[in-house]
Amino acid sequence: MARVRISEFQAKKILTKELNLPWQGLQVDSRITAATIEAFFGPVELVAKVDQGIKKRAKQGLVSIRNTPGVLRSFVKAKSQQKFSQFLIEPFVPHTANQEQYLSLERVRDGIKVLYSPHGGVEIEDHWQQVNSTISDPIVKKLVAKLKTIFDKYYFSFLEINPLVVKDEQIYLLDLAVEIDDAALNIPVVSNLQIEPISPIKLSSSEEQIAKLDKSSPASLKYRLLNPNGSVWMLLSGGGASLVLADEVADFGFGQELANYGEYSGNPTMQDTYLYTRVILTDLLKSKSHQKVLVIAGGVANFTDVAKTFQGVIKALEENKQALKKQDVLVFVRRGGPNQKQGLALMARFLKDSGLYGTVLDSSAVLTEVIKLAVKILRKEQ
Amino acid sequence: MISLKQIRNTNNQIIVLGNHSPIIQSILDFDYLCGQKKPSVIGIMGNGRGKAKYFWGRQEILLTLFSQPQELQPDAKSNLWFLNLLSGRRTLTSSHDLITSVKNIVGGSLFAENVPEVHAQALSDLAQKHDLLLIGSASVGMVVPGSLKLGPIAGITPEQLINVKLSEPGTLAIISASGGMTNELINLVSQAGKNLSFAFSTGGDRFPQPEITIAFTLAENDPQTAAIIYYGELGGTEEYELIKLKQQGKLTKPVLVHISGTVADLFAQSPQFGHAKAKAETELEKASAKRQALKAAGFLVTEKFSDLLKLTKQL
Repeated sequence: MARVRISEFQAKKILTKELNLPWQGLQVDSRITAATIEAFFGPVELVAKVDQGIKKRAKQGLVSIRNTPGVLRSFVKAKSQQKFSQFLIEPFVPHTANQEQYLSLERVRDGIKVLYSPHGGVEIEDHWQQVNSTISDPIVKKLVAKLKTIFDKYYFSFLEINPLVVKDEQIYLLDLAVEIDDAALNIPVVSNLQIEPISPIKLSSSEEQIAKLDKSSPASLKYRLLNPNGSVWMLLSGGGASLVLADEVADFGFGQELANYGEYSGNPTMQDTYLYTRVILTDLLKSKSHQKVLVIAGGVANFTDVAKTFQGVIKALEENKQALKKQDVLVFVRRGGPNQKQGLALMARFLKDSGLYGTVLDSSAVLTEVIKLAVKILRKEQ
Repeated sequence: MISLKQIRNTNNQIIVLGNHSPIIQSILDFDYLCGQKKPSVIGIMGNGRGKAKYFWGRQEILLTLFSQPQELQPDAKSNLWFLNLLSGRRTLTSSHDLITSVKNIVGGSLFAENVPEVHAQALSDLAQKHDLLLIGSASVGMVVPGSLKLGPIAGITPEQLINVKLSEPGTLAIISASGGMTNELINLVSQAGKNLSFAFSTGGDRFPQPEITIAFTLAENDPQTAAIIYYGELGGTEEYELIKLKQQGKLTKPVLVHISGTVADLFAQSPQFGHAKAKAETELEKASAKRQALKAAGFLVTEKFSDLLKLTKQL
């Protein structure tokens, strides 16, 4: 149940329909023309925004306000060259700064926490002390009651309207951010909305490959590329152990050399670990670092089969062993859990035979010992 | 809510929802190794009926499969637990049905990942209403050496259970936000030459059970626990409630803490790490902030994970 952001376009589509608010919006990419915009909205003033879940857009120049289709077209084109790919265009709503209010809802353990301020807008953080749970405006009160129902119905985790404008008794959701619980994406009421979670960060092709693999497997497979030319490459297992191991690299002063973070857990199949390892090795081999280490490590597993998961890892290493050897990559291993003896013996034999052996430790070694040994090699190099 | 003393002094029985044989077998192995007379698992609820083959020591035994909770015949004098091994989507409804149709359940453990937050809220209400010791979701469960193994915690092969001396109760408690790290800490306690009083993983989800203050109160009130080892991560603000608990004088036992996630500071925007809750949105949720606050409040906080073994030996 991680929280994922949905596009403002999708969020507004859901909310304006449920709240029965008038709204027109267009989701566009770099191919949009001024004529299409004009045809859709008619002769009105418009707003264009980068719509990729990025916070504080106005301050970063990712919003173009009160402009004509021609100007918006140039804005979209210019921002597309800065690697942004998804935009929202909607009518401009004339209002004054003192009409801008702030409203947010967040799911907490015992319900939904509501925060409100009659003074919203882009400078909200400068007067955060005015934000609290008291709402006196009857229109906003009514809105919150309706929002709570929608919030539960669609498994929302977080919702922020800033600014919220109430003008002549009419509600306008000028800027809307919604996070949804990804554990609910397969529940019909949510899946019917055909929501695609968006990531504010552009994924690399390897990250995309692993995200796809993660989606198709009941096990968990995560991967983030931090430094494509890093020295310390990680093939980790366990949500907790992977964090502890990555921390240790940074604690030893090699944070800048940390190439990636990731983890596999939940007893993946041999095919899963094979495909996962293959992606990491492709990135590793591309790194321009002169001395690379691969750390294959994890805690003492409760139920993930070490022998089975390692067979997949070894298969991918086997396919790349010449290239790894050529680059003098050394492999450092630490793992425990079901069938650890067999899994570690297989790994040790393979690494020794192929000249990639750094070390192989079992559960009698402290988890992070393997990091100490791996960075020692890098220290020598410096 | 049930106390650890009651868990140790009374016989424990378990109803398993979902048939996950390596985990069920590991519970039977634990019972057998601890010298219990009968398996704690009294039935497996699933779609089928009939019997399922398991081992009790070297002897083959049959466990009964049930489709209706009303068919179960728990012993009224035992502590009755449930272990839910079903998927994230089915965890709430199946737990609810069982709790409302079988009397006297004292607690349960929820194994599935991907339990929706809305369901976790309902599970939290359910635990409160029925005064249950509920653990999870996304939890490997709870182990009380010599008495109860509720989940895959501490391993699923007999070698794993023997290695960490689960039949010999000790004095150190483990409370952890991560299933894998729970087992790692169980292993570390054994490396330090010590034994466990109990261990459980609350799981890495957004609203884990039991709430951190309840978890620590259980350990505080347990006469057998001398000290607590806690593993936490970036994300969430539960650790600050722990500080309050200590300041109110309700947590007097020594607590050794490791908070992971300082690596997140290398990223411009905190990424989503392995666990659902492991993401820092605010300054307070950062691992470094939690470490600092806990240290200032008098908790024993590690700088590096490799310090843990030495500090555990000193507990």
